[in-house]
Amino acid sequence: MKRPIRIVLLVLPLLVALSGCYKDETDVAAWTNNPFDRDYTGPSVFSVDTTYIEVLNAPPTVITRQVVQFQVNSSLFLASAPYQVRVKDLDNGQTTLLSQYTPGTDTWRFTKLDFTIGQELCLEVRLSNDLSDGRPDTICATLQ
Amino acid sequence: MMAWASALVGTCACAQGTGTLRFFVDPGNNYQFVLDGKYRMQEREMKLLEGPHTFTFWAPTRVMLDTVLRVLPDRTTDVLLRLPYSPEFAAYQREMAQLKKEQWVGRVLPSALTLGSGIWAAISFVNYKDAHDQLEADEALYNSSASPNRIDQLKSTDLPAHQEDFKQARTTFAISGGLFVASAAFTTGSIIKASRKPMPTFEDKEKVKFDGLVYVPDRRGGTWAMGLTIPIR
Repeated sequence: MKRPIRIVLLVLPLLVALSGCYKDETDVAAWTNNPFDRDYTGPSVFSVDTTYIEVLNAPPTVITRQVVQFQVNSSLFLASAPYQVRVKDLDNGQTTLLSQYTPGTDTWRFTKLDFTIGQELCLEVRLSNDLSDGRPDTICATLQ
Repeated sequence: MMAWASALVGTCACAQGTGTLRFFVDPGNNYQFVLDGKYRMQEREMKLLEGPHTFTFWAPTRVMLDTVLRVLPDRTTDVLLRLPYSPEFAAYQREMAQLKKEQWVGRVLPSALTLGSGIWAAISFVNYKDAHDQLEADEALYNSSASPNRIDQLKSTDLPAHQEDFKQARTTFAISGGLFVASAAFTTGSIIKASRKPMPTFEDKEKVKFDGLVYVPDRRGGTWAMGLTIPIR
């Protein structure tokens, strides 16, 4: 009966090796590096470029509005993807879903009609896709 | 043999008539008989002097059968005879049947069990690998997804379910693999044990007795063979 024991001793390590082949190395708590993830913990994706007053001549009226131009750091994306940005004006609570100012670029513009020169305007911005939004960030700009 | 028979018939043909015996014996292909305690023959039909003649029939694996046949003059008589199997052969057959049964139990069943557990282990391994691949696919999806809702669903619902599937698949593989190893060892042991068991042999004692009835010449000259039958009952 030594031969069966030898077979067991030969096959058992193989079995153990096969069992160890595949491990559950997924640590969901560490999955926080996708900027579209609401649990994203990386550096801020948004940064303010500038803010200025834009005058639109649309006869018979002339529209004057504040523009906040900001950038999205798409190099932080784990994979290239189209996206939108949802902006909440923290001054009046209004929310707007923006599309890219220039398609294919990461430059975005938010406009506000009732502005005050010298007053800081803060916006809550989120990456958005499929009618769902990512982690909120806040950017502020003051019109001089 | 025919010469002996002709001589037997010829010696007293002047005084007695002759008759023919035609044998229908089971088994029909290899039976032999000894005529009048002297002549060992293998004929299907023979002409003999009228009157009683003693016959001892025998065939391999069958019992020897002594009988007296009366030859009627100028007539052909059919002799129907069935030689029963010898007790030794019946015992041999029983032992062979028992051995085959033991081999079935000792070899085929464990082998089938090993095969079954092997297939189960293989399927479990494939499932285990698939479950692991699913986790990798989840990670790849997380890294490529640009949908906050999809990511949320992945992290809160899909991934935990897939992790549970993986855990279960790994447990199943461990159980099935262990069963496979155990059954393989058991099967090997059973086969070795079965192969060490001696095969039953058949010793045709009736043949020895039959051979001992008459002189059996061979190529080297010949030997005298003698048998002794003691009726117990």
